[in-house]
Amino acid sequence: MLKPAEMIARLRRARRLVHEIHVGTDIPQIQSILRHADQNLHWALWNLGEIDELRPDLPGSVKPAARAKPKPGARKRAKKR
Amino acid sequence: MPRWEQHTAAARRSLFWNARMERMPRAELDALHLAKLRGLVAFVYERSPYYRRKFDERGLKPRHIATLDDYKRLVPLTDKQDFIRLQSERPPYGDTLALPFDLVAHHVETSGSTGLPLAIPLSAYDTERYGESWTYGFWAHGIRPEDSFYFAFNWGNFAGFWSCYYGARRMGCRVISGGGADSQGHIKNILRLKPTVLISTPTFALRLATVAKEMGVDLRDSSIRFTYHAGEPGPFALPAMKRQIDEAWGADSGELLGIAEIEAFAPGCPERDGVHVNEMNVFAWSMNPATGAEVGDGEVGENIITSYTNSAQPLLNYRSHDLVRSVGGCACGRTWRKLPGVVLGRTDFMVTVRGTNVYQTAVENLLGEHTGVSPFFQLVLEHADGNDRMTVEFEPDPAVARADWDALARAVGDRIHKALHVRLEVNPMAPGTLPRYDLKTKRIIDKRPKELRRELDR
Repeated sequence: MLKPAEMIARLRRARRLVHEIHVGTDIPQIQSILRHADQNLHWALWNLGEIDELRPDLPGSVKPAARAKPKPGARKRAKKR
Repeated sequence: MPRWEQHTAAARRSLFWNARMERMPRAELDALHLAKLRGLVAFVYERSPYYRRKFDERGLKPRHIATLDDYKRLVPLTDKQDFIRLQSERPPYGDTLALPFDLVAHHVETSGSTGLPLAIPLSAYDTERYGESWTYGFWAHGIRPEDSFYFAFNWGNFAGFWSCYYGARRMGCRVISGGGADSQGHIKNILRLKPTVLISTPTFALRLATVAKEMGVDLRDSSIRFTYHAGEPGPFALPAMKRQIDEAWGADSGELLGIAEIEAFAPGCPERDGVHVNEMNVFAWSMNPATGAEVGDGEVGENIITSYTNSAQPLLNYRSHDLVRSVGGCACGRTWRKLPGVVLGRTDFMVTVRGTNVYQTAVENLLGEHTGVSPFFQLVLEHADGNDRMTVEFEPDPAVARADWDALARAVGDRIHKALHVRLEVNPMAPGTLPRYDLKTKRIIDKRPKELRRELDR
């Protein structure tokens, strides 16, 4: 059995391959199928605990601004509910 | 290429749809939640005008969320009424969308039981993820890809059926729509097409059992091996309901807790006494609805939910108005938060009448606005023929002539029907006959057997 890290590495590689084909074809049908494939590969990564992006298909949704360290004192500036 | 099996023999033996995540230690789950929530907050701040405005009003920036506690305290609560108002101001979705309109692949709605239905836009990816919670529950219940599903529903816009369909598709099962059939038609379809899983509301499963009996059909001899329910208090909330359904169908009943606009977020526990929050798809915590403070493990509080999977119309710190007792740990081995007894009550009392959720507050609001209705009214709940029934008893205003009472009652009934999509019996009562209360007025007269009420309504 593959270890989770090995599954994750292969899934990431698969996404890169899918993307290569997507940008390398102009057949709408194939692009559409590949988009679904990428969503499913992303979903498999999510369900292995890999969460570096909320959606696979939007620039900017990937950003873990989320993961940036807050500046000291920044939290105090946000009003509590 | 090698031929693929859907699942290997080892996978088929698994008691879990995803054992690694369903049994993940709490500290790891919480670390995942924090990373997801921070990503989600950044996403909505960047993409949703609604959330950007709410955050800016509070001086809140995504970088301020450094802990789960920050998230609970700083991210504003959201409520269905906010979204309905924004949508009605600028249909169909107001400024609640976080995705370009062309990524909305499926439009569904809530049932409209609290008034106007809430529009729910879903992207194609959202629909895939929405269905996954059902699949966790199906697998835990013993359902496998060779099973086949019969949906005893009409296929309208209501989100719940569709999400269940997505889940059955994910598992790879045969799906049979019961759309367009009446109760006898459903029975005939089941006998002819031989599905192994019935999907319906719990009261409709009992209704079908009654109709089958009238037809001379014993459903215990049918192909159905499992029944699975949502939409109203079901077998894991009401032991009496579980016993009745299991006996009528000769099958194992299951239950999932969902909220249409959030997702099907809490699949049933194989212990059959509650549901588990799907912590891959949502983050949930419990709040004292009176104070806004978080309540401790095992204490009753309002379930506050954040969905990771509705990216078209994200819902953060969403008030469910469901009162739950959330506990950690379960004999089944799942570490996901468990809600024993499912929903124990409502912050705004709700009852399900002929499959429609009716809220006390919604009926009260309609009565309060209606000309000719005095402030003296009550809602009487009874249980008959497997269904909850609500009767409105009201005193007409003294200025209304006795001869006009029946017409007034009909007008009130029509108004309720139009607004809430349910026909209630409305009875005018002579002025001075309904009880008066010195302190808080008691509007609900609950005559249902205790075992058929939610725990906190008993």
